[in-house]
Amino acid sequence: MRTGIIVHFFHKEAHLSQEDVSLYVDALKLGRVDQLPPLLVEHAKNCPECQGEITGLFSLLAEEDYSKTGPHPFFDNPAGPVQREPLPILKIAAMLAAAVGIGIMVYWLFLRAPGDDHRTQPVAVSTGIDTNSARPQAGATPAIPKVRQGQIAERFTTSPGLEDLMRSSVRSAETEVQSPTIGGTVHAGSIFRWTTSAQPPFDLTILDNRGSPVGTYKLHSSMYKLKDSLQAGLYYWKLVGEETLLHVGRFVVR
Amino acid sequence: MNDLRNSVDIDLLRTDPHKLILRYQETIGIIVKAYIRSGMFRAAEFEDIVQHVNEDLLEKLPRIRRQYNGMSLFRTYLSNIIRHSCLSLNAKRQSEPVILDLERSYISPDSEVPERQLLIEHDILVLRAIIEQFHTERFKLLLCLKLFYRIPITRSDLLQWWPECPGSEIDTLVSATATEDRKLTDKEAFALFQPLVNMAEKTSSSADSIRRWADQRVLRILDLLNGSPPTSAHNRETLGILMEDFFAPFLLKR
Repeated sequence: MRTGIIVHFFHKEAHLSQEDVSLYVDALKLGRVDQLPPLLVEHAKNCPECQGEITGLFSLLAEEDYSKTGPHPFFDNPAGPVQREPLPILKIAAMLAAAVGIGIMVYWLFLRAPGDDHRTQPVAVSTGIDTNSARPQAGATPAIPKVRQGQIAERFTTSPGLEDLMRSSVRSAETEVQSPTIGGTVHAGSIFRWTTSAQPPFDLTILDNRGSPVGTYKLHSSMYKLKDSLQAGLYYWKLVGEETLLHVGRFVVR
Repeated sequence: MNDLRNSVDIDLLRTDPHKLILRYQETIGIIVKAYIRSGMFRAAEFEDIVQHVNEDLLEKLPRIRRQYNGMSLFRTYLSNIIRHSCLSLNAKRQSEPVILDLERSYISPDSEVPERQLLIEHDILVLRAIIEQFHTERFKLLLCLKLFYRIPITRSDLLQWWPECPGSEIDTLVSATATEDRKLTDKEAFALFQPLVNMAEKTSSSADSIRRWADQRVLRILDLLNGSPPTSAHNRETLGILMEDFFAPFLLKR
């Protein structure tokens, strides 16, 4: 059972999105409430407003036959739901793989301290290189310390909670983000730009891939120019206006 | 065929959303008729309301494509959009619910009108869905509802709530409620339950506090059954009638 947070926030309080309500109704129709994410169940139990949304939708579908629905995209798909746009997901995966590769190269070419040589045990034994030599041989495949490699990769892994939040929609203000695109590359000087029916000021928060805030900015216009250089990795950004979560996006810094 | 329904819906959402809306004309009709039955709209308005929903869906298509995250069945998700379209129209008109229609079958509980039976069956399905939403509290809530309405408590009711319930305590409560003794006051009925609650939850609650806990949930159940805006006119008495059928579903088959 997946347990990601799939609530989103508006008007100061957390409420279930239309997708969450639909998922709960699916669970009721299919007798699978116990397989819902605990956070969703707990929220619904204590929130009369969301119970009203769930009950209202269920009431319309009470007589509908769901017995021959077939595999459910959430309950019967441990890999995750079928995405509406699979192509961007593949793009993101490819970008992540590329970013990890670039990160490894950057590390090897620029960041690796010369003194690391004597601590690194070469592992590329199948190339016929003299592995006893402390000096790198021309044409040899460098051996990356596994710990460092893991640390770099960790910075590019996605956050399940923020991914869920990102996929959830907002019921209130309409917001269109022009840049950055989901999964797009961002660097110092990049512009964050959006249009929304919500009025300024806006709070833009950049979070690392563990959900820790990296920076929060109070804005009085619908754009922000990133001034700081961020460490290579995967980041999320949240836009809040009128005390409502307007948007959650993801970007990469290389 | 049914197994593929969700996949077909999602494909159409990407490739031919107008055809997708055509596919859902029956669902739109069912939902609009449900609101006509509830008194929200007049029967003569059926075509107009359906037309309004279609126009609304066409307008919302880009947003639906963007926001549907594939976690719930598309039919449930779109039903929710259709529901909100009807509710928005109703709010826009600021129309008053037709209370006369809401009196429905409960005016003459002795009648055997088939429509009345269908309405009761519908409301029992909804009641079941509401009680499911109380999740971890639902078995305790069911016991309290039985006490409220003096419906005999069974051994399995108690074991579902507290699997370790001592046999002697079960026997005491089962025999005390077996006679459907409607002369018991609420205070006396809940006093029968109080020692078990305190043993199970390791608390020292009074019988009255347990009754108040249950009463708050009865009020919430009534709010949810009636909907917002109200589409039914249930009260404590009609809830009692529903509960009797809820616990004796064979009565519905007569």
